[in-house]
Amino acid sequence: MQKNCYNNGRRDFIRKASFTAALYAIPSALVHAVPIDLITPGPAPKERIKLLINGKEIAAEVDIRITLLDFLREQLGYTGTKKGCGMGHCGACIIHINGKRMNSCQTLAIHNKSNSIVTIEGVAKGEDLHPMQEAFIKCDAMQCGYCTPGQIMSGIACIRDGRAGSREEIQRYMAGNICRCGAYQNIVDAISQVKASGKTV
Amino acid sequence: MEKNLPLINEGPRADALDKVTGKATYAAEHRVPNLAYGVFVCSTIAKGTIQSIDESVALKSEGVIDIISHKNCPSIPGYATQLPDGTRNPKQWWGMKVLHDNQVRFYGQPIALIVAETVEQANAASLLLKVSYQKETFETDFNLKKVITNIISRKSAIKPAILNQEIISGIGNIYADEALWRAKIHPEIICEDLSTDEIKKLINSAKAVMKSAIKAGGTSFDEQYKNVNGESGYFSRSLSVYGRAGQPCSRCATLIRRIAFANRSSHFCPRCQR
Repeated sequence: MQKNCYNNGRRDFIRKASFTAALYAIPSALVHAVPIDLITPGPAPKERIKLLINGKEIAAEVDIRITLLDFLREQLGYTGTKKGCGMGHCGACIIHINGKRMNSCQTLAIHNKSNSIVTIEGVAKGEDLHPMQEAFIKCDAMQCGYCTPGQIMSGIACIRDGRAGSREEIQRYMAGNICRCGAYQNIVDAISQVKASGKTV
Repeated sequence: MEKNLPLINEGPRADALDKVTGKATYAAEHRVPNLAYGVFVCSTIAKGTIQSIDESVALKSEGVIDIISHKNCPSIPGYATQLPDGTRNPKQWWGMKVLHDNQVRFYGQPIALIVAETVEQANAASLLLKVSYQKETFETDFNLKKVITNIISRKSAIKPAILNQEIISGIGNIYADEALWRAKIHPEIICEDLSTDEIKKLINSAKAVMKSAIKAGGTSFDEQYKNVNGESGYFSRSLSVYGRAGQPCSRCATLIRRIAFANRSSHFCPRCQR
């Protein structure tokens, strides 16, 4: 399959699929610098990946161009993680990869082989909500709720990374999470409360 | 009179639990069978005409179902300038007409939609569309001369003219009243009767009043108009006419008058604004 995909002279270069895949994932408006002749139409290669999602081992065959976000949402049905801008501006898609927060629209599924991923679906322990989730409800840190999963994942990372020392510090750390409803004050309240409670996040 | 119902209910938002656990559903969470995905190809010039779109390569790309551009986009009733009988369409849509004609009005304007079976396929095919343009020089600077010529040729009153966002954009009702007061121009004066210098003074007053309003954080009359940190703007304290009907003008002490005008209220000093 891979053979038909690209021009002859480029085959070896292209086999390092990650680079091409990165090209494909960039919104079309931004990539006009790429010479079109480099790419000819054909079936895109697929790859098998294995990774850990919320503690569960998942094996799947994926389009090499699929972002981790689209893989989670479209292929696996983990729709708790939201797609906002698809460009790393809004933070709605933030998840934890090996314990670090990350915009899942900015990484490809194939780059996450054997990584451990935690999404909003994985932070509660069964019926028991995570302290951050409880605080978000208590502080009413949302309106429409679309940015909330990303805010919560980022908020947890904020405390874990030791960046919740003051409201200003929280605001700075949370700058990558946009809330169109403007619930910022309550979001900062929620994170401060969890931090003050001393609970393990 | 009936007792007012409280606006704020006790307890958490009804769907708060769903929202913090990721279970709340939005449009994109609904699974539709045989869903196709669309990706826009956007213009790479700021102004001009699309000369040609070559879809041949992109159409052959894996998974592509169709490519929609102004060449084949179904006509949308609200976009037509004329009704079938040749008269003007009174309900014409004045916003952006998507994929409607070959005109490019801004950089990044959607000019074609690639429809494919997956978003990855659509993204890939969007790189294969070959578009050629006839470029034109764009103008983004504010052209004072042009605006003055436009206003001075009008037979309407000056206030609706400066509120007309097609002539000059950005002036709202409060700042229009303030600018007119600063320039000493009555809101109901006909544009034609004003001099070039008066209009120039008016526009410069509008600029000045908005500059100081931005410095003060805007004009907050109630809870709704606050910034994201919950702070009010303080410009309402510096207003000279708006919302001051019956109070003395700070220039001449004549009482400020309020009139209903074009569905809005206008405030002015009957003595120093003529």
